[in-house]
Amino acid sequence: MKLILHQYLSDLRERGELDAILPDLLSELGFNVLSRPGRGTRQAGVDVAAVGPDDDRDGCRKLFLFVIKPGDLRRSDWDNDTPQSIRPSLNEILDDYIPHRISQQYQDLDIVVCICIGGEIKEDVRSQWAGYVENNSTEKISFHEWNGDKLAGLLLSGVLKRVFHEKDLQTHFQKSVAMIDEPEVAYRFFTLLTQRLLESNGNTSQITRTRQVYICLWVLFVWAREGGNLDAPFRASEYAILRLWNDCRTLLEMENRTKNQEMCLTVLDQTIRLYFIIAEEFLVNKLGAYVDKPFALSAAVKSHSPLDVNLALFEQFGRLSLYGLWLHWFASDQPELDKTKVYLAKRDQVLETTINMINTNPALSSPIRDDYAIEIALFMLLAQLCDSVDAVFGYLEGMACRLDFSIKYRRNYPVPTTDYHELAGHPVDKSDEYFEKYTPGSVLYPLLIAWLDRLDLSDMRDILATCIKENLSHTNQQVWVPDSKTEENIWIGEVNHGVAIGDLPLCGDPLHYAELLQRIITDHAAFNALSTTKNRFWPIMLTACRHFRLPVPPHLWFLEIKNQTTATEVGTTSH
Amino acid sequence: MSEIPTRDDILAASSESGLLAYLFDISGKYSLSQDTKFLEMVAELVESGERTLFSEEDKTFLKGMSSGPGFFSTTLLLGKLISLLNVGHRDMMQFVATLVRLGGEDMAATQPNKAFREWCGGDPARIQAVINDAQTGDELAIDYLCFALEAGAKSEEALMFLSPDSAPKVQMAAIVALGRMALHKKCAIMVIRSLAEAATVTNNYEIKHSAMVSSFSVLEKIPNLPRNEARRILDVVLEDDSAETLHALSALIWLHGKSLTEDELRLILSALQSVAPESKGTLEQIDNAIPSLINKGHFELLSSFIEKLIQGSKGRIRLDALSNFWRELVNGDNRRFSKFIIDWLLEGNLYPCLSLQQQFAAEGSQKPLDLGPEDIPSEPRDQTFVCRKAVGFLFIVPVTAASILVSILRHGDDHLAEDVLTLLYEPLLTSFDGELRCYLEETVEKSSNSTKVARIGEILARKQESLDNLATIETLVELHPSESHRQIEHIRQSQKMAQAMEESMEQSAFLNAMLVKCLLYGNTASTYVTDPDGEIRKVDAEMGLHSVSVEYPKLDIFDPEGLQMMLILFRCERRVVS
Repeated sequence: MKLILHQYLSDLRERGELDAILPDLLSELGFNVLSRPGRGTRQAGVDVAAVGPDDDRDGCRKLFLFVIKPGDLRRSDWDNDTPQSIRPSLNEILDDYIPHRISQQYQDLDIVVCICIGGEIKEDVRSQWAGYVENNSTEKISFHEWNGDKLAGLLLSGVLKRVFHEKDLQTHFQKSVAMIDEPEVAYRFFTLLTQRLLESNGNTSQITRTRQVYICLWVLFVWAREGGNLDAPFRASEYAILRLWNDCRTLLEMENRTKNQEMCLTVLDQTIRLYFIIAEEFLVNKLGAYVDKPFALSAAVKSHSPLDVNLALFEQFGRLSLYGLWLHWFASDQPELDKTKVYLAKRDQVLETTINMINTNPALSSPIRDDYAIEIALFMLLAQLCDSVDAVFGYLEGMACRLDFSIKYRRNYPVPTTDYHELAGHPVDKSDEYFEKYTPGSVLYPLLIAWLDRLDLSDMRDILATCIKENLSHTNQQVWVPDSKTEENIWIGEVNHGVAIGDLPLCGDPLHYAELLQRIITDHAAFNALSTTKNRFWPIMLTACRHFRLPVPPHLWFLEIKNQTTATEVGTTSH
Repeated sequence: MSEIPTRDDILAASSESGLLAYLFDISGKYSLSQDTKFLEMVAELVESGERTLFSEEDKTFLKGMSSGPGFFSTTLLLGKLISLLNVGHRDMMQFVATLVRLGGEDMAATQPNKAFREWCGGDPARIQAVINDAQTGDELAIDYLCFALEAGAKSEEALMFLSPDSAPKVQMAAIVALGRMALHKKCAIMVIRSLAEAATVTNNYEIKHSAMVSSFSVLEKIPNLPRNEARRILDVVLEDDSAETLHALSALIWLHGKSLTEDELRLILSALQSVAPESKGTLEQIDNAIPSLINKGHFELLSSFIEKLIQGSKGRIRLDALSNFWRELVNGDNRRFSKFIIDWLLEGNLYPCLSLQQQFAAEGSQKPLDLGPEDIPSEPRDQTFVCRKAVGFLFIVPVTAASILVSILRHGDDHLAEDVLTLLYEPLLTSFDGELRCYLEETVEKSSNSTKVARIGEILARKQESLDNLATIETLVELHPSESHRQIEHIRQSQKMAQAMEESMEQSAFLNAMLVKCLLYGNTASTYVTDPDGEIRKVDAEMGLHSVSVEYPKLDIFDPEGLQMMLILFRCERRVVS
């Protein structure tokens, strides 16, 4: 365990990584964290300030001023002109922070200046460090070194103590980390670990449980990043957000929250930010490098099966769309206009990436699974938020045309199954019997028809509607909407809730269908009672839909649908 | 033992089981049918009464026989023997009839009839005896009347038998015999006229059909005879379009196609366009006729006929039913082959083009076409049409498809260059990287004088760029299917391959005729055999490697629906004719 954590700590790279977990680590060790790291330069040399016991010396309560340096400390990091250089930061602390910035209530405390490094102090700088400590130590000011080994020990004795001591937790944790090359397996163990960690056992506080999930996700991510496969942490991050939301959602409605309850919400926020880090690393940096190259992503699947290509592309398509939606939400949550603009620009970039991906990988116009309606709904919502629906007309028309073709020729038409074995053999034959057996219901066509109507693409709408009328009269065209049981179930992956509204009249008058959809939205107000709707965390609802494969309810299809807490408001306020 | 049996050997060996059983027993061991001395000895034994061939016991023995390779080597021997036997005509007819019946459907089953004809030719009395019996209405004699008439070249008697008063079976025997006889010119004219008369007055289609075949048979043997009477029979036959008539017409072009005029052939082929796919025998006869018709310069006519035949059958008749046609095409002049492909693509009829596609797919080999400026359509829109049809139907043989596009790029309208290059790139070059790329590179190298063809270099560079782009794609492991998915797919593919292999092995004539032995290890098979002299001999067979490589089109993995939509669109497109 310690080796895993040691390796994890030494692999933490830039700012925003080691300094992101240190406050939680300190809190679990009984520290009172006074200031957290901000973006950019340090505050007079200090990354994190905290008050806590000095267990390395006398156990007395002291003021700890941390200077964080990811990785190893080398001679080149010691004293140069970069803002991240250690010696200038230490000097700043002595010259500026200690004399001027310590609040009065902590001025009587002894001070520990602590350099916190993920790796270790290399020999070529050890003597400089020792000399610096010797020259600047006083009765009140002492210097400590927290290296990767020490931090790993602190993690095991603190926040991850339970994981270290309980055998099944340790197994789940180790297997999730060890199996990063088999993301499905790694993800499965991570979900087991998360479920167990979040079980209320009376001994562990909610904040500790929340932090444990967060730290474990970090470890998984860093290991996966070093291993070159970010699939498992990506899935795990979505799962962690949903499970932590489930744990924290009631806190949001409390008027007077305790400090620990506030901290829980902070950890949730940090988990969402970690999801952003993972998404940026994987979707933007890694995947994004190939989206403008024809068929590059299709080729990257490295399979001779078109099914594998289809599945892999739609998975990434959905991830990108959802990440774009999260960026939009995040942008609207920024207090400063400049930051809002930055995130909106990122959102637009993600949409552009997604559109490029469609253009260079045409299999995305031929969904093999009916539940890819989820990914398409997310993408269309993102296009609306970016005010770029015009740019995706062709995509919807192309998809409708291909669906018409695949149904008529009985070739690879979408089926409502996620079972790989079934999909691999699909279609077994072109018989009516098989066709009817595998097209009993659909959520894809109701979404597509609604969008074709909305965009007034009547030619293609007529073609698809006629095709549905002639070939899919046996299919129950339906939408899914949340019900009163949804709130208690959806965040933990339960799918037996909600209402399926069937027999939708897709082939009739478009106006009638639009009115019916509006009526469905009005009649099913359970959506408005969802914690994500009430608290304006709508991307979490979309994440749940994508992650647990539930259709996006019509409440979240179109921006024009006026509902005080849907994406509409978020979208309009952010512009 | 390689010596010929002596008279005593024969007597001894046939003493218990009889002569027939003896002949059946030894016919496979020695080439006795070639040995006159042996045959004469046997004939002498039969004539002397020391052994029998026609007794009741012999008949019983024959009835118990079954056909097979051994049976046919015996009938060959008996055939040679028959001409040496001096027995009554009824015994001989009975004997031959039994042998023919035992031969069943085999092509060699009627060999004894030929022996009977020769036997008749050995003595005019035998011929007359058969004719006399036939005149009395004897069924067995009527069956053998044709051979007797033919053997004796009895044209006058045959013409008498043609009378409408004769039984149809008798008329048929006479007609067939007349067709086979060597006649002098004057007589031939009379025979054809009589045949025409017989065909015209009768309602029996078998007689009409036979009269037609016989009349053209006579015409073929004697050049420059007037053809009007034969044509009259042909017109009478063409009034009917039954399967039997079409079968007779196919027999006519098979047997006498090379002597038919173009006009006659055109009429017959026009009628044969309605052959039903189930009429395998008729199709087989048409196919048999093809090599000689092509030799006579009727290729264009045949090509058009086959195209219409396939289109008319809505694809139920395919080129593989006319294997001789395809073989002649592929093995013949590449220019003719190329022109043929272009013509069919330009016609753009779905089923013939699909059949072409299936034929190419079954062959598996790719052949660049050789097209000159005069071979490609002159209209730019037809050139585009052919390009799209080539891609739509010949996608599976990309080098062949590309060679058409290259020819049109080279010789076609200048304004089409961009469109042709686009089609060459996608879907062809994006799907195939092996032989196609080599072919295009070679084409560019060899065509430095053509600026249009040199532009293929642009798309080759684009292809290279896309390959370079993919070089670093290895790192995107997140998109790889999981191990469990890979295993499911692997098992699925293995089962599919195993099933396909089993089916093809079951259908393989080669494997069915061989004893298959499985080697578990090693690459050389070694076995010990015991020779007749008792000596043990080691036999080694070194195994060779047999493999087939197929380039799977990448677009069929990356975007199967898009690819199929494009190909189907190209295939279904209709030609705009001004």
